Amino acid sequence: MSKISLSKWLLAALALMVSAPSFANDEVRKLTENPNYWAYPGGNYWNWRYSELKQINNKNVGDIVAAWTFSTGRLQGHEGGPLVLPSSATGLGSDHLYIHSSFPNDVFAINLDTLNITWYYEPQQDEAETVPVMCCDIVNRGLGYSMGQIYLQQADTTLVALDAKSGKVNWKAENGRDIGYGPAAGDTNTNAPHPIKDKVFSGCSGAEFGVRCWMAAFNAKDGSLAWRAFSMGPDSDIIFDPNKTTSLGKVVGKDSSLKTWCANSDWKAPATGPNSCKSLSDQWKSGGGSVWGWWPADFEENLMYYGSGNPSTWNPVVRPGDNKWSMTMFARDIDTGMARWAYQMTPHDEWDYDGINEMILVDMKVKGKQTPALVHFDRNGYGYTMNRKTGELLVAEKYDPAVNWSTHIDMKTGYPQTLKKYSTHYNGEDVVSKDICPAALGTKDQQPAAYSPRTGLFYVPTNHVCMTYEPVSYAAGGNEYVAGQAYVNANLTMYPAGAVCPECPNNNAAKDNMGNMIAWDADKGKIVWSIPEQWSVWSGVLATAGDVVFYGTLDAYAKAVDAKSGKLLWKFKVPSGIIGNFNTWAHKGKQYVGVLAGIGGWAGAVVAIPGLAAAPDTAALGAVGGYRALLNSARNSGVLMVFSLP
Amino acid sequence: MRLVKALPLAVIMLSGSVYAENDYPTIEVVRDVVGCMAELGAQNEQNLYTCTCRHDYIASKMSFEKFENGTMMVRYGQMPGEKGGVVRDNKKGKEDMKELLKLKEEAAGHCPVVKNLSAPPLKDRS
Repeated sequence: MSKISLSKWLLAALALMVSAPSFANDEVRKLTENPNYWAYPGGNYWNWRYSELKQINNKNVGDIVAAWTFSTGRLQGHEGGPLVLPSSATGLGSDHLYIHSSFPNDVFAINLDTLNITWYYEPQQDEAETVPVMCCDIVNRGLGYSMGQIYLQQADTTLVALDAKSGKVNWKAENGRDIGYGPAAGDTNTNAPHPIKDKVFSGCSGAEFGVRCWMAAFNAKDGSLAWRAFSMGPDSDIIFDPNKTTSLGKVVGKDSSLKTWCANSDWKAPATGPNSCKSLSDQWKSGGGSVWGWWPADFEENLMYYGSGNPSTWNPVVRPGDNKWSMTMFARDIDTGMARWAYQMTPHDEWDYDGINEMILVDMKVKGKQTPALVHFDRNGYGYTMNRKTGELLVAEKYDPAVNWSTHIDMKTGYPQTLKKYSTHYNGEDVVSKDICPAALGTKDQQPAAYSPRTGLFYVPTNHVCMTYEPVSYAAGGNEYVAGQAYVNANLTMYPAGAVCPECPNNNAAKDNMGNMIAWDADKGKIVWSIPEQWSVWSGVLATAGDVVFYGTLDAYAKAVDAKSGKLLWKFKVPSGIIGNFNTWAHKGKQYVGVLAGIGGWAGAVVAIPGLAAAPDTAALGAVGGYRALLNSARNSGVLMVFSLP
Repeated sequence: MRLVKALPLAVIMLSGSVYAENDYPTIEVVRDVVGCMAELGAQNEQNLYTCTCRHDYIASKMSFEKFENGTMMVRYGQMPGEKGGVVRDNKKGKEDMKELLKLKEEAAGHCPVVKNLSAPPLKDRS
């Protein structure tokens, strides 16, 4: 008996030690623990997107109504979600909500007592230089907060710290131009800045323009650069210690990235295991590996986590080799950037399965053993469960049964076992590879999943889409790399996965659904429930202690389902498709749920992408054809929809 | 005088299916009608007659699900980037859009724009 009670006390003491260490940004950590506020993009630093609020619950969510709305005044896609902060953080007299817009990335501070705008910030950005080089709509994924400052990562790569009280600029930092990139070289930004400890983290977009991307840490105090780690290049550039940094438990050795960009065209695709180069190329210099997701931190280990995107260009034939460290999850020291471990999920990408999706940190049982886990739903269709301290691969299972490009992940080597039939490199340039699942946008894109500690389940917004993929050779009109020019070189079409997998259990009756909202068991690697959606589920998900899960669809429905059963409890037609994230907060005793509606694409507002719109052979990625005069019905700007009980 | 009387009559004839039974949610009916009025240039009674008539015509011939798919295509078919691909390449969506655009055209013929004739100001009528 005494032994048991002793260990109980030990556990309690340990738990206390774990939950209350002292760090530079204790303030933000404390705010993330107060469910009345939403202080970090992922809700908490473990990226749970979960709230302890339960005034709105699975019994009464059917009664919630629109409480207030806010139009940002900007068209195009609105991703991300609002931050909600108390007066103690902002110096303002009352709770404030901070919200952003698509390009040109306006920021608004809204007084929650009066619903008046306290201040707004309209950045001056060079539209002609920036917008044409944004590959996939002119979205921005929101704001960050620490040390009395609101951080905005502008599309034109300028990182700005605004005084939370006045909206005045405290400092500006260059996140690209300082090293010769920036929009003129096809380098832009879409990610939310993530304040962790005394730093602000921001990445890089532009893999469709041959930018060699990175993760950068800026000092929150003055915007000076603390460190920058590239996705590919020499060890000093990628901040790897060849003798200490590991991948699946083995040290990576010298030049772990450079060695995987081959010059020999007889290198064999697909990559189903390690296969070294005979000679090396410098394709890595325009290697892509963009960084634009949602990043968690483990303060106990002093690590932050993120994923890198596709290698550039989309034609895999011109870049033989594994193309490390594109398509990789990284664990890096928050202070120094040193990589503790890295794992490349899709070596030698042939499909644009970016690895940028969020990592969710959870202490959970994996195969019967309590594990410091990291759960990640990759674009490539596999749900990964890793040991976040060691980088050990524990579970890798398909989270859409339609996924067919590979049979499984080899758990020893970590390589996907790709089928030749779906290898666009093996099939060759200017050949259309058919019926590849998932499509380039992945079984899931950046829209973040949620985790509920009450159910132990992960709530994942998914796509159920397959594609044809044709790598375009230089001879057939593909673009050679030119800084600032589109560098895609592939044609794609997309269609419902039911056409390829008619027997898939997550098809709807007509077998034409293009999305599913699923609940996932990350220990067993199994889908617990799945809700077919006609159009892709492209919103960030929210789970709450009221056992409600909120999500939104491209066809403009906000929905709430029961966390345990997935039963639909509420739906509401918002003015535009939802690609924003659901967040929740409480103000004066009332719980609110908010989400940005606005997917862009309205005819008059479509922005042409030079080199995509103009050239039909690269049109698959971007805008197609000319601009028809479309019906001018109720053109809406991005709208923040806020719901509550009546 | 005669003109003023004739107008309500025309309206009654046009809006024969005012009480149409269908599965369209109120919020979407209102959105469609308001959008149509914006297209015709103003929110006024005349455009309300025209637009409700057009809406009822479409709603009587197309399920809400198809209407929604078609509207989705019309609105987002040219969305750039990968998420646009989901919409652009959608076969069923394209079919529904084709049908919707056809019905819109038919509805425009079935429900012409109601002309707004006002009586001259009272001081001129003597």
